[in-house]
Amino acid sequence: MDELLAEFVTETGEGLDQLDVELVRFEQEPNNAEMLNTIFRLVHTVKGTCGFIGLNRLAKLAHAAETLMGQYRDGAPVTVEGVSVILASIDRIKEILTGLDRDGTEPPGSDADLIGRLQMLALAEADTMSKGAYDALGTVPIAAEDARGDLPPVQAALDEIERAWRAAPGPDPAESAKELQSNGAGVVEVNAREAHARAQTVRVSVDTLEHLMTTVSELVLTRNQLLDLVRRTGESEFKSPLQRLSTVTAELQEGIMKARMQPIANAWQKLPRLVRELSLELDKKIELDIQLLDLEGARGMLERLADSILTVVVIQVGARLFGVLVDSVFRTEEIVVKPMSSLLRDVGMFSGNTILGDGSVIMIIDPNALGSMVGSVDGQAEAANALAAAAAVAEEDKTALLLFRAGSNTMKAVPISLITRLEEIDLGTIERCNDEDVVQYRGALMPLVYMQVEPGARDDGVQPVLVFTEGGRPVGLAIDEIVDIVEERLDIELKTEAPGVIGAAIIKGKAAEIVDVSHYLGRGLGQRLDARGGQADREVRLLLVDDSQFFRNMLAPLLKASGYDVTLAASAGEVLALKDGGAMFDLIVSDLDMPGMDGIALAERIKSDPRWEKIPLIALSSHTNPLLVEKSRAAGFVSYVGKFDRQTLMSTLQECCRQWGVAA
Amino acid sequence: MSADGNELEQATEGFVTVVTGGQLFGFRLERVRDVFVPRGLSPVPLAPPEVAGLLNLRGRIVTAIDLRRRLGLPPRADGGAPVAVGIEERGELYGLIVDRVGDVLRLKPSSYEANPVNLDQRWTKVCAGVHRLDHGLMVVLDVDKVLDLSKFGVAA
Repeated sequence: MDELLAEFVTETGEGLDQLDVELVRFEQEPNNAEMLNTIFRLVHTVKGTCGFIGLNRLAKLAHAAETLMGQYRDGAPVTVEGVSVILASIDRIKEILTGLDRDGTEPPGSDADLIGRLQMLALAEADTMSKGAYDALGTVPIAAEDARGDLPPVQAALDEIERAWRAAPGPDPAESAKELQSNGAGVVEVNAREAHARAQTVRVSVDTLEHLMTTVSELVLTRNQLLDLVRRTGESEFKSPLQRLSTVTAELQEGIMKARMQPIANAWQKLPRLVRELSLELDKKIELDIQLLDLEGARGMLERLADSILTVVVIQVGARLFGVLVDSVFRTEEIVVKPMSSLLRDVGMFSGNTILGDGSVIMIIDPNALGSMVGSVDGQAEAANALAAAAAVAEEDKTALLLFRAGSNTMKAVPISLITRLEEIDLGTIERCNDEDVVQYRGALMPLVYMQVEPGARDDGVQPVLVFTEGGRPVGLAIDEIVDIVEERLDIELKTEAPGVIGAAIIKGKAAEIVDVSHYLGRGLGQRLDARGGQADREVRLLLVDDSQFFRNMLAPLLKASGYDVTLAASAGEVLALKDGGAMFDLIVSDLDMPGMDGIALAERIKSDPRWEKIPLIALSSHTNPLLVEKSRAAGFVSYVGKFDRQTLMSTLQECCRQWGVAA
Repeated sequence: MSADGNELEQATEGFVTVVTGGQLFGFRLERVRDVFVPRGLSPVPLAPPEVAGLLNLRGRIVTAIDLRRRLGLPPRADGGAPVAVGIEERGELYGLIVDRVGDVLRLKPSSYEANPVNLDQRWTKVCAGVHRLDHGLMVVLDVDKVLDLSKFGVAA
């Protein structure tokens, strides 16, 4: 947004909040001329600025409001209706400002209703006034229309009045006369006063203030250090300048604190208006007494307010959220939960206890116990579910496979972990580009590879596509139909020389071809492994070491499907047991970050065993820390791969197989 | 102790004596780990009434048991500072809060008697006999039974 516009929105918004309060007060003491002037100035500023930056809707509305208020200023009796309409107009102005702030332009809409009411009231007033005060002059026609058609008739009429005033100095109200005499035009006067008001307040961003606060805090600390130094050295020539510095620092600190303070009255600014409307609505007189407190009083009040604030700690039990009302939130602390004494095990509310940093003992509340107290959580069922989920995870030998058909009737299967998404693509959206079929897919071009399917052979209008992701880019494999998703132990029983097929396996009691995705995707996902390309009688024996079951589950099927004979180990200890048990591997892929013995230490142990020292080691890590890379190389790892980087892992393995002559 | 060689030969048994509710009680010396002043007691809501709370003793959590409540005695009125007898049981620490800890006595089996028939019925479940001393009776408390709140039924 335009800087000028932003400034205008902020300033006007603040002004209008003030206006709410002033107007209600003004209604109660209609003779307070100074207050009226303040109000008039505010509306006038809005009008003037709006006209200046071309906000027509605002300008018109403000103008109508100003006109009516101008009359009040000139002595017309203040009516409840009038104030209500002006308040409503201010509300509307605020609405428009909100829109302006949001979109940078005035929201569309009409304010004819409010303008109409404002003008009606203004006309009535003008009528009274002209009859009461100016009829004697006999020169003031209430012109419905005059030459300046762009101005509303009321303004035109008022202009007439003003002109008449100037032409015939009479027994005018003192204020108006003063204004007219000194300036000739009210507008200039108003602007001058405003310039004065602005000089008293300067807008400073909160960030700047915060920065100042921090700087002053530093200053105070430094001063304290100096004071301490001087105190210890006894008499010193620094003493008196330091004293001065100390005083100035204290003053500065106080000043900044004050500047940072917001008058608490701001919080109650909406109250008078609210009470006024309530009073009108109930037709009852309500007296609102606001006492502004000094700083100390305000602090006390805030403390009292804080007492009545409820603190809620939100906890989650199962899928549900609960709020626990507490007196106060202490702090968070890293703790080691110790089991409850056997005497207290029957107290189901606590899952344990611990000693806090300050030495006190606290009980740990068991959220499940809280949840079961309200009867919404079936603890046993939840536990059973958790067990079932854990059991499902534990079946790490099973691989989720997608069964599908393409071309022939033979069932084909591919590990689902390789597939990014399953899509049905409208045939009409398939385009040809550079001799390839492509589809616009999620904002990118996805090449389509056909798997024994003739392009355009389909007649039902949609093409099932398995989407794979390679190097962040999608590749689509077009097939005939998706059959099922199954979880099966993947035992490739028959190896085959046929391109595009890894082998055959029994899936759901039937033979299925395990598809070599990489064959179809060309530069695609799986990175065809030369090591496996048919010349090897035995598979590459690969040992995968990772303490995370998740990663073992994720990588093992992938590696198996790519033709490796995978052995899994969950810790360095297991690896050493395998080693001492006489096992042999062609490749070891190990996580670096493991509890107990880590990957680096493990590598050192492996390298110290003459039987195992030649096995190439590949490091897996979720951190890409140059220092760690360096350390892993020093420990004997030949390569370092990010944990989530399947592609690099596959190509690294392939590279290793070639380079080290593994499985030759 | 003040015992002479002759008495030691008679296989004396050591007791840590405590006073609670005006009565002298004795714990077998080998069962007592230490004596400490319970500080920073955290009460445990919903716990059995005998459990006075938990406290931190040199980095270990101690379950404090109020011996007065355990024995069905009225709460202490004199406002004196409590003392706790530390007991370790199956890897857990307990503190029995008593009014006052007295001397360690070495007593001969000859002064021992089984629970007298006139002993308060509520106490027979946690007491393992008495020693007849010059100035009165010392009730021997069976630590295992004192800690076994399930076998209580005293305060009822």
